[in-house]
Formats: sequence, C-alpha cells, structure tokens
Amino acid sequence: MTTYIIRRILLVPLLLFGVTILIFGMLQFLQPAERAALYIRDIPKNPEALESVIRNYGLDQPLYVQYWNWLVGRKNLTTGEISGGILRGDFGYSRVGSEPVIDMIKNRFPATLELALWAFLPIIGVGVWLGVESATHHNKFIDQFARVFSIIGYSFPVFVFGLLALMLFYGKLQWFPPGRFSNWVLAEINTGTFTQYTKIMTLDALLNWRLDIFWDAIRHLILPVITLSYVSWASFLRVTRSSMLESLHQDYMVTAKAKGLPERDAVRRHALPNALIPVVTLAGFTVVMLLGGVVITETIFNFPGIGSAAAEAAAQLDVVTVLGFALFNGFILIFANLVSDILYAVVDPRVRLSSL
Amino acid sequence: MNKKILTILSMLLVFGMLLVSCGSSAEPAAAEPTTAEEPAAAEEAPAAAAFASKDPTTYTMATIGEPDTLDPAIDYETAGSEISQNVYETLVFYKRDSATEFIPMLASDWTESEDGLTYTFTIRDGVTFHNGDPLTASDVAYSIQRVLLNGDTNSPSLLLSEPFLGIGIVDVSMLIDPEGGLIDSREAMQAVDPATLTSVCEQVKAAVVADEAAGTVTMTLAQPYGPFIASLAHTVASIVDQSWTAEQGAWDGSCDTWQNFYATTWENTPLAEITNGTGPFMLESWDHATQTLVLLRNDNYWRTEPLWDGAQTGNAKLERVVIQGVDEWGTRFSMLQAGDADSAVVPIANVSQVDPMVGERTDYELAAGAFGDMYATETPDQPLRLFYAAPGLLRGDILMTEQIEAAEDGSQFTGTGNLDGGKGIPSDFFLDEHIRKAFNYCMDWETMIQDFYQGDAVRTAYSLVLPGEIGYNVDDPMYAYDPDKCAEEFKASAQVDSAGNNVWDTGFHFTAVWNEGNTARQTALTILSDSLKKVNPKFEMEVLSMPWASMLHYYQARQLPMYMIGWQEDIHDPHNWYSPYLVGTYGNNFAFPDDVKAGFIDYVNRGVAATSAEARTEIYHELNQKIYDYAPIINGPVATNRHYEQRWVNGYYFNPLYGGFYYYEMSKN
Repeated sequence: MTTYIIRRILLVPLLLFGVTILIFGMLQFLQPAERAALYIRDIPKNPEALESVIRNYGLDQPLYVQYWNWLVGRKNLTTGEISGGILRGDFGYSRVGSEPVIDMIKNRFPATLELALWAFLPIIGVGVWLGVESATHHNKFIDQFARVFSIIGYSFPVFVFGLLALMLFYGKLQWFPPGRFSNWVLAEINTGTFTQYTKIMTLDALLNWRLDIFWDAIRHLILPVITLSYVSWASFLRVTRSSMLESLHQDYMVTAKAKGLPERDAVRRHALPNALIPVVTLAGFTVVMLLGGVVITETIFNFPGIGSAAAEAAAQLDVVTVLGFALFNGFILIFANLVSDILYAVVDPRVRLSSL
Repeated sequence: MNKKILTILSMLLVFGMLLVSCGSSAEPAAAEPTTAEEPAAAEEAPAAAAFASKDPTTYTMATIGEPDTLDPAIDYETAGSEISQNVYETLVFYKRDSATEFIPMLASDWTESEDGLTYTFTIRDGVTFHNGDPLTASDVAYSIQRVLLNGDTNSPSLLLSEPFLGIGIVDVSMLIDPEGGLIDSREAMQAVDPATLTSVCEQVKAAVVADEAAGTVTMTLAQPYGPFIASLAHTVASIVDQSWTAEQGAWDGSCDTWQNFYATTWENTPLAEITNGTGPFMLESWDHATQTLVLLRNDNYWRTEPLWDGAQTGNAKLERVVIQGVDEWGTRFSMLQAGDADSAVVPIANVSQVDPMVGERTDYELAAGAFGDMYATETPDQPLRLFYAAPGLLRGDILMTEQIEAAEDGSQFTGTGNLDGGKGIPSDFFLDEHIRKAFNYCMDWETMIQDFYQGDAVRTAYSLVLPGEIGYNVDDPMYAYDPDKCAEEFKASAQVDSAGNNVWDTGFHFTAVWNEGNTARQTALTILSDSLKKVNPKFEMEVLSMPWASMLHYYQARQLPMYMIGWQEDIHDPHNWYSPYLVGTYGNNFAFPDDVKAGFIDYVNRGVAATSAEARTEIYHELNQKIYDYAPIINGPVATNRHYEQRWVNGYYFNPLYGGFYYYEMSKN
C-alpha cells in the first residue's frame, strides 16, 4: 500500500509538468497582440502601449523562452536582478485578480473548501439514502417520488435553479443572503474583534466562540449548498439505486436471509457495502468538482471561490493565473484520486489484495 | 392508486417550481416601464422618512469588478479612481456637478501668469494625511514629479506629460529618445548614461518647484495648455505623502534613483493596496476574494468651510462605505430588492426589471444642463429613486480605415480586394470622401437609439466633442439618415472596378467587425448593413464578431476596413477628443493622407495651446467644419445614465467625471 501511494505521489511533478506544457503549447495559437489584450482592456489611448506590453512581457519571444522565464524567472540584463519563476516560489501576478497568483489561490480556496465541506455530506448522504430507499422500495411510491424529484433537479440548469432560489429566499423573503458573510461581520473582521484563523468562516466562528457569526455564515451557505445538492442528487440516487438493486439480488443476500438475518440487517451488512463501490468513484469525482470550484453556483451566490476566479482568468487569457490554477487543480485532482483509491481498498478487499 | 398519487405529486412539484419562476421574473415585466410617465399624472410621493435603512451609517454599493490598483499615479479606470477621489485629494476639484468649473481643494488658491506658462498654487494650511503627517508644498511637488517620472503608457501619466513636457510627448522617456524606443522599458532606461538620466530628472523637477517657506508650488509648462487645470483635477494628480510613500518602497525623490522606478505598473507599485491620503475617507480593507473594498470615515478631516454653497463641512456623515463587486446581475437585483444595496450597477438590458421598483425620479434636462425637480411615479410607494438620462462621457463611433493593410494570415476583411464583380473593396475604399459621406447618410442612428438604447442615448452635433465643452456647437451640421443622399454620394464616388464601372453598379463586399459581447456595436453595424442593402442590393457589408483580443490585433495592424469602438473622455475638454481622433489613438489608425493629417495636427496644436476660451472656440469651430466636410468617422450617440438608489439615500449628485460617487456629500436616513 505504501509503495502504491509513493508511486502515485512521484507521478505528481510529471503530471503537472505535462499540464503546464500543454497550456503553453496552446498559446502558440494566439498572436502576441491577442495576449497583450489582457493588459490593455480598451483601444490603447497611447499608440505605443501595445508594442511596449508585448516587449516588456516577452510575449513575442519563442515559447520555450517564455516557458523557461515562467519556470526559473527573468533576468534584468542591466541590473542582473531576477524576477518571477515558479521554482523560486513566484507564481506571478494575476491581472484578473489584481494580486499575486499565490495570494489569489490562498484567499479564495478557503471559500471553496468551506462550500465543499458543507455541500459534500448533503450531496452524498441524501443522494445515497434516496438511492437505498428507492432500491429497497423498488417501484413503490417512495421510489417513484425520489426519482421524479431528483430528475427534475438534474434537468434544472444550475443558473436557473440558483437564481430562482436567490430571488425567492433572498430578494422576497430575505432569509438567505448571497456572499460569505454580512457587512457587520466584515466590520468585525476589519476592526480585529473577530480573528480569521483558517478563513473558513464557520470554523473560525466556532474557534472565536461567536455563534452569531456562525449562524450568519450558515445563512450564507444554505442556498449554494441546496443548489449544489439538488442538482447532484440524481447522479448519486441513480448509481446507488442500480448498484443496490443488483446487490439485493445476489446469492449472498438469499443466503443471509436464509440464515434468518432480518431484512434490515442483511441490507445494511451485506448489500450496502457492496453497492457502495461505484458510489466511492462518483464521490471522488464530486470532491474534485467541488474543490476545483463550482463556477456557476459561486457566481450566482457571489461566493468567492476559485472556480469563478479561474473561469474569469481563462476568459481574459490571463495565462499566468490560468497556469497557477492548473497547477493547484492538478494537485487537488491527484490528491482526490489518491484518497479515492485508498477508500476503494478499504471498502473492497479485492482491490487491497491486487494493489499490494 | 399509487400511480395516481405519484402523477398528482409530480405535477404539483413541477407546477410549484413554475410558480416560483413566474413569481420572480414575470412581476417586473408585467408592470409598465416608468419612462413614459408624465410628472402631472404622478401621485404624491411618501415622505422620505417612510424609507429607512437597516444601517444608516454604512453605504453599500453593488458594482461590477474591482479596481486594478489603488496607486493614483498608475490607475486608469473608474473603479480605482472612485477610491482615489474619496481617499486622496487634488489641488483643485470639480465644483459639485460641474465638469468645467474648478474650485481650490488642497490649494487654497492659485494664480496664472499672463503668458499661460506659469501657475503658482498656495498650499492649504492645516491639512494632514491619514497617518497624521502634515501636508507640505514638497509633498505636492513630489506627487506631480512622481507621476511624470513614472511614465508608463498604460497609466494616465500622459495627461500631465503633455502640459509639462511638451505636446506630443506622451512619456518622459521621449525626452531621451523622441522616437519612443525607451517607452515603458525600465531595463532600457536603467542602461541610459547617468548624466542624461539626471538631467531629465532635473528638467522635471524644475517644472514643479516647491517653496516650503512661502507654502507654494510653482508649475512651469512647456507651452500654454488650455486644459491644464482640468488635468490637475484628475485623480492622477492626487497628492501623496512623500515620506510615507518612499517608506513603502516607492521612489524616494532622488534624481539618482528614478530610473529604478520608471514604468512602475499596477503589478509592482507598493501603493497598490494601501493608501494614505488627505481625503474624507480612509481605506479600511480590500478583500480580493470577495471583491469588497471598505472605506472608513476619516475623523480628523480638515474641511471647515464649504467648498461650494450648501456643501458639507467637517467629517463625512457616512461611517463606512462598502463597495462590493457582484458580477451577476440577478444577485445585484436581489440585493436591491432586499435593501442590502443602497445602489447598484444596472445594465441597460435590465432596466425594465428595476423600473417598477422606482417610486420617484428626476429627469436630466439637456438644455439646462441639470436635473429637473423630483417627482413621484405611478407607483409612489416603491423604494427606489431614479436619476434619469444624464449624458455620459462615452460615445460609440463607427470608424473607417482609409488605407487598409492586407491581413498577413489571409483574413479576407476586404473580400477579393477590388470591386470587380462586387466581391470585395480596394484598400483605399474609404479614402474616397464620397464613400465616407455615403456611409454617414446611410446610418440610421435614430432607430438604434429607440430600439437598442430604449431612448437612453442622445445624438449630438457632428463635432467630435460633447455638449458643454468648448468647441461644441449645437448648430454645427450633422449627417442624418437619408437614403437618397447616400445613393447620390455612392454614384458620385470615384471608386471603379478594373473595367471602369462605378461602385454603384458593381456593388461591394467587405466585413465590419465588433468585439464579442458588445451588443450595442453589433446592433449599430447591423442597422448600417441593412440600410446599405436597402439602398442597393449589391452592397454587402458583412458584420462579424471577434474576441476583443483578436480585434485589437487586427485593429493595430490597420487590417480592419470598418469597426465600431468607443471613447470615454478623461477630462471634460475638447483636446481629449480632437487629439485622439485626429492625431493619436484613432488618428494614427485611420491612416489619413499626410497633408490631411498635417492640417488636423495644426488645428489640434493651436487649439490646446490657446488659453482663452474665445480663441479656442474659434479654432475648434473652424475645425468642426473641416471634420464635417471630410467625414472621417460615422459618429454615434452618447449613451445617457440611469442612477438607481434607495430612497433613504441623500446627497447624490451627478458629475460625469467622477469615477463613481463622492461619498463625502452623501448620507442615509
């Protein structure tokens, strides 16, 4: 198992190298002036501006030179001073975020993580529960209802569901506002009466023992969590349901029941663990999706995660920022796959044996 | 039985969702837009006291995006200048809502020499920066010198470099290399020999001299410059604290080191996220993740006398201002509905959603140059107030390239490149005056104003400048939609195919470009294309959308025969229009013939150097006639603004040159 994990971790730099080479390779389809548009948002008021941006950022240099500069930094030929270079810990400056890329990721990831933490359990918990109930009450009312309910959610575009939820529960009822926290909390943060240890608002509120702020953070989380959950339940329900139906008809279930095991225990102890294997795969994908940022949900609810920031950077051809997020997402993806593989080994002894 | 219940439940669920959907989105659409209302038909509005904010000490603005940087010497966009104008201050400031009258701000007064070359500013006593440092004459001189020596052609420094360094000098490096070879390259500047660098720095310092004993700063211009005071009111001329600025790692004021700070951009200025001004508000925080900027009241603000009649004195009434970037319109709309946003940016496409929430409004009267009386709408109990139709500073124009370059990647903007068979246009198509005039007569802007802008735009005279500026003459001739004249001009054109047939007989085909996402530009070009087709079915103008970056590329290479673009002025002065359109930004890309360009340059230079309004008016009126006769552009309408705010807000007024609001004058019930 340890060898397996080490082998996977050793692959990380190679994969990240591949990802960045791929992104740089795609740059050759863009003219230097097209990339300079990131720095000049309107027709330049000064005719020299475009040329100087291309020259100063080396946008007209060969790709391998640009890649090298991004990797190890760029040397000022007059002073010998080196600036930039991810190997020197400088991920560059994000024009889109108006701050260094590394700060942008650091500032935005806690919001994504918090949303993922709160959304993960409802998505999986309710999705799996609905799937199990559907399978065990096959073709009964609860089965039909759960399927219709979740398929409606699955068919609803996220932006429509999110905007409707926002207009109803915030615009009309004023229950659940958008954003991460209210202005009064912001004032407390700014005046230093509330300390942000982790930047995960709900956790920080508990660490500060401020239940009012905890409740405020929860109010801001409810709509994005419901939106994310409602549109994801159908996937979990479908996978769990079909997997459970298959398990319920296996021979070992007949044996279990023949031994006199109550139906409930047979399902819990034998059918469910076997049915969960594909659910673990799906859960892995869901974690990656949540940690990589959920662009539309974040945008609608003004929830400042990394998804909306990365999308904005890509739209504006902010290559430095895109590369930063690509590296970060690469880490997340590889980490999530690793956890998912380990979980496989936990739920399925056959995987454990074959990988060792 | 189960199936029946299931069907009923499913239908109820779907019906419930549809109900929510209709309830949320159909309601505003169902109500009549308020634009057509007559004041006489309105009922009495409820008293202002009926509308009370949940938090009267904090103003929340829901906007789009966030500033590039908070360094006023470098920032060149409205979100950043809104912060600068509330946190920093300039020597002179706009008199309330006027864009052309100026009052002393950090200067207590100023004098101008008769030759228009020397200005002496007396620096106001008793002013302190937010960190407690007193304002000195040296701080003022340093602030202006820093802008000039920083250069950077993507910053607004060119607004000061022209008056101080000479017309046509857009960057300090041009004092060393007039051809612009050093522009924006710190590395190249650092390689220049030290003696030259010192002499340039000393030249700049000699132009802005502080006299601490007298408490004055004397500024000497390279030539008389009509819009000089207007340039000093721009946020680029904000006054910073020299010692604090140097402590943060910016230029220390020495002529030995300035080259190491030349071309500082918003990526590397140490003042990008910190401020220390003299203004009524201080920066409390800027959180990039939530796109939230918070301004906190400066409780030691210096102002004891009102700067104009009825102006605020003492500390600001608002304690905090929260400027929040909320990119999604639906979210901003919900914030307005919930009363959590005191005002919000409302795109033109969404005004019909907000109009039913307006309880009172005032309309801008163009002739008077001011808003009329506030009156109640047909829904007087609604919570919003609307300031309607104040003209902005942005005009969208359709531009033509007179000498089109061939696209190196084979893009066929000009079709076959000649008129043979009506499948293209030659590279000098728009060099023909009759062609340019024909296109002007064929453009139906009124349809555009009614259909696209929903009446929220005005067409000004065919001079380049905006109403209210020197040189604007409402009686100047202008091209109006006239298909007959359009046809006449085409027939009079000298454009022929290889067999000598006139363009009217051959027809033409070319591609006009607009940048993706800008539907105003798409609509305008489509209207023009349709009009041309109606005049002569052989006239084919294809309309193509392009990502902004690609358009910029082809534009810069002069490969686009026709494109639509906009211009937003920096200072309310005609030079800010004539110069870019005839000489600089666009003038360069029109590719005028040399004699035409020389003629325009002569007028532009004389116009900006004349210091009396009468002399400038005369020059510009002559120039307007020349521009009309030459018809270099198809000039479009000026969009007007709508400002929506909650009715518990007090003190808003409209000044088109503000980056956003001037919160010092504002308060809430």
